[in-house]
Amino acid sequence: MKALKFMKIDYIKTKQQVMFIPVFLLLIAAIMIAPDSDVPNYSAVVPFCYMIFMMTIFSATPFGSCRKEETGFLQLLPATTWDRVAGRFLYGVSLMSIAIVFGIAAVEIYRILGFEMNAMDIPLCMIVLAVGILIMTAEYIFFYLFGENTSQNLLGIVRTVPGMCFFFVTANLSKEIKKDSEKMFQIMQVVGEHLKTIGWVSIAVAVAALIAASVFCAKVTDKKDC
Amino acid sequence: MELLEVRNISKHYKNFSLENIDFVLPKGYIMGYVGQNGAGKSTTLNIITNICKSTEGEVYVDGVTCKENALHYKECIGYIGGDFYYPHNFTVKNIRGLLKNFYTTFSVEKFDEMLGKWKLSDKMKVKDFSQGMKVKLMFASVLARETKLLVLDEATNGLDPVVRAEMLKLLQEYIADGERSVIFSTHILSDLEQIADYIYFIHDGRKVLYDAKDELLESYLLVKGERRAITQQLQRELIGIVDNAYGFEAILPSDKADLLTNEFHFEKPTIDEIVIHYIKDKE
Repeated sequence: MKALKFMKIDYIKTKQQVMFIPVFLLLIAAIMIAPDSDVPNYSAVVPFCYMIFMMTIFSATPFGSCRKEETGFLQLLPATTWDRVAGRFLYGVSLMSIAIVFGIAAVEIYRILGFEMNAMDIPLCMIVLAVGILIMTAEYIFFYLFGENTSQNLLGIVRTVPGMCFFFVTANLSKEIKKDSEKMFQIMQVVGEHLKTIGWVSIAVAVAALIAASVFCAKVTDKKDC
Repeated sequence: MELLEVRNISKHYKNFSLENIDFVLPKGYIMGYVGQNGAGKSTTLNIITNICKSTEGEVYVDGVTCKENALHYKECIGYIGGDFYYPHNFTVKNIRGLLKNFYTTFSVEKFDEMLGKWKLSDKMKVKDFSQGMKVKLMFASVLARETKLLVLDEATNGLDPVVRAEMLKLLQEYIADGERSVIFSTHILSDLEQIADYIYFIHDGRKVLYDAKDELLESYLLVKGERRAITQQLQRELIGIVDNAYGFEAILPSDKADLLTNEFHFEKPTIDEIVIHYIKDKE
């Protein structure tokens, strides 16, 4: 219950950002549909990918906007360290949930507009969500290990890491495809056949990692001074 | 009965150590916690408020440690720092909501009454407040709930004399019922002279003096005179000899007053003078 109160503090602190989230999400949904408007089969994966990527960036904001004195004050509030850390994790999870709700709403709107959804979209979106949660979890662990009152510079660097990883992975993936396209095709085929299972497993792994990370971060914070 | 018990707390940093700080503060009293910048005042107060953890020792507030009962411990303490600790984009309305959410004893009526008295606007962002307004807001947020111990870390520094006097009056009202106490660190020692009942003087992380203020003032004499009149025995007893245009100035334990001859002039020192001469002596 107290974790929710700490989540509320983060929402007030990042009010300006929160007000822009729906605008960004609507823009993503609108921009992604526009170039493909003549295609009857529309993939929801790309816009959802953008939404989740945006949320991983926004979820780190409370760390950068926190001064040392503020952390001290939060420590003084009658609650446990676990409440405080769980509140921050809930903030991140709630942002992800907003992206999910917007994603589902956008897909429904596309459907009303006459677009058909690809059967592979849901498991692919699940994998995207799982990757987003894992990135957010890694960022939170980093911030709790190296200081809650992160400077804007460090925050900027950490925020660019997921994007850099994305380009690194795609660049290497295309290299691998060129090298041995046959093998890659086989792998993709296997992945395609088990996509649903992979989607569920990846979500389960991400949620388990998130819960474990929140417990770990609470323990780390408990031992550290503000 | 003791409201605050600090039992041999130590804290070790790379370049600084706080060593064996030990004192008690009974209910209904104000303690002045004094020392130079970097002496360890804020570290001690941060350990008391549990903002940072001690390497050794325990702190009891109202009979419990933070480990034993974190919620009661934190509810008991009201903290006001020299730096404003609410997020800068918060409005007074946000702060009222936050305190109401977290503290069971927070009274919205009391809070609003103080805001009205100090003319603090509900809709203004706190980043637009002056230093005086920020301190008043921190006082209002602490005094609007049922705390037992006020911890003030240089809270009145930077305030004009009128606001400072107002805040000191508030502190005296706060302890008036004999059930609550204040621990107060400041550089403005004249403030302590006015309101403190106990003085704890710390230097370089270690205790130098700890006593009731009146006892402390009675225990020392401020001695002035010419250097050549100082005997070897007196030299050993004088604390923090400072040369000036008229000779020297130092403090002397009152029980050594028999060492003073007619060549010396002596008077009752202020807290300020005791502290300055002790620091001079340590240097």
